[in-house]
Amino acid sequence: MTALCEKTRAALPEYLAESLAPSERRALRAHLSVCAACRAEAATLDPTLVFAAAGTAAAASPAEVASIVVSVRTGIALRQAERKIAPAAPSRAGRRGPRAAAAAAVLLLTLAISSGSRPSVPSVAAAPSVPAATAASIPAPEAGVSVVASPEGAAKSSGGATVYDWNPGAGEPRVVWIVDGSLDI
Amino acid sequence: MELVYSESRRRQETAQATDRDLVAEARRGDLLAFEALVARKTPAVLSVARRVVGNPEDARDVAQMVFLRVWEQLERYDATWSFNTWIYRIATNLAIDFLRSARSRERAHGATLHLVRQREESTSLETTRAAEDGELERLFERVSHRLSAKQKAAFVLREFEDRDTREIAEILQCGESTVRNHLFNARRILRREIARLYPGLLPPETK
Repeated sequence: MTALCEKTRAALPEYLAESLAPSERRALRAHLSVCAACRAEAATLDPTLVFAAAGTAAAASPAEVASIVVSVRTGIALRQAERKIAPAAPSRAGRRGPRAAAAAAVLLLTLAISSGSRPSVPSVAAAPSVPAATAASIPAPEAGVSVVASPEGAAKSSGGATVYDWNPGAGEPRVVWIVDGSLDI
Repeated sequence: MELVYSESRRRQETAQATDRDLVAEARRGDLLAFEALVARKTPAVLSVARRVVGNPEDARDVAQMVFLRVWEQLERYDATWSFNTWIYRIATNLAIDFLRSARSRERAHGATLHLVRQREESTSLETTRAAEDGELERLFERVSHRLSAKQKAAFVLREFEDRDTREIAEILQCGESTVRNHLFNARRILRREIARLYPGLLPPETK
């Protein structure tokens, strides 16, 4: 047992009482993370001290970080698209609405396909029912894209447009489709 | 070619920028600066979320919500505050909300499943191995079910993120003495749960 071990063990009660100075606390945690004998001694004093040996280095792989960045980028694009659609809904739908909705749909479709991951966007997570007539009025899709068979996964956006979050199988790509009921698109 | 060069150079610049600089640029609508901020803060946000909500999948959802919230509220951020404290506050609040709603769903679906799961856990985990093999996160996840959301958040911020009690008070928007109470009670409850689920971790005389 080294002098550092002795010092660490003597400081354990103060660690539990939250009365150690920050530098002493860091030193104690650093020692516990590398000294199995002191970890065992600490656990004997108080089993919750096993957590004092936990490193503060967060476990996030580069792939995980990249996936979050892509999901956030998609979420921001979706919200920006919703905002663009929102003011056009009742009165100005005639001219600007269809273009905004189409642009949003193309933008989101592109993002969803290129991101290669399924983002989770809380604002459209709920699934209220959509009138069958609305679902039936969806125009024929492009090749390779199927019509949404049921309104499941659809959600009302803040601007009154309906956002379809559709992924027919377990795989990718995810397709997000925005249809504003007041527009003829 | 020029575009590729510019973007790569821009990424290098954002990597060297301070949090404050990135926030200022993001406020002006620079999405690349915001993404650099997201990449930089993801490990810390994910770490808090994972330990509070208890599983990696839910933690990823919470992390996404945190950054969308940050993006939406960037204008409201007071630059006299530490950006880390601000983002920890948002992350902790959303993780606490998530945990509370998950617990209420669990209650609504019956306690039976929870009991079955606890029984399975208590027989399947070798306690000393769990501690020694760096499985502290799993151990914490299993013994922290009975902590309140605030107690759990305070303990995670203190013990896993090594934040000081004053900063935790700012994050949880409560007094420092309340944080100390949360920590004291969290240890008491964790000790009891460890004794119940993992008696191998207790000193011989208390078994």
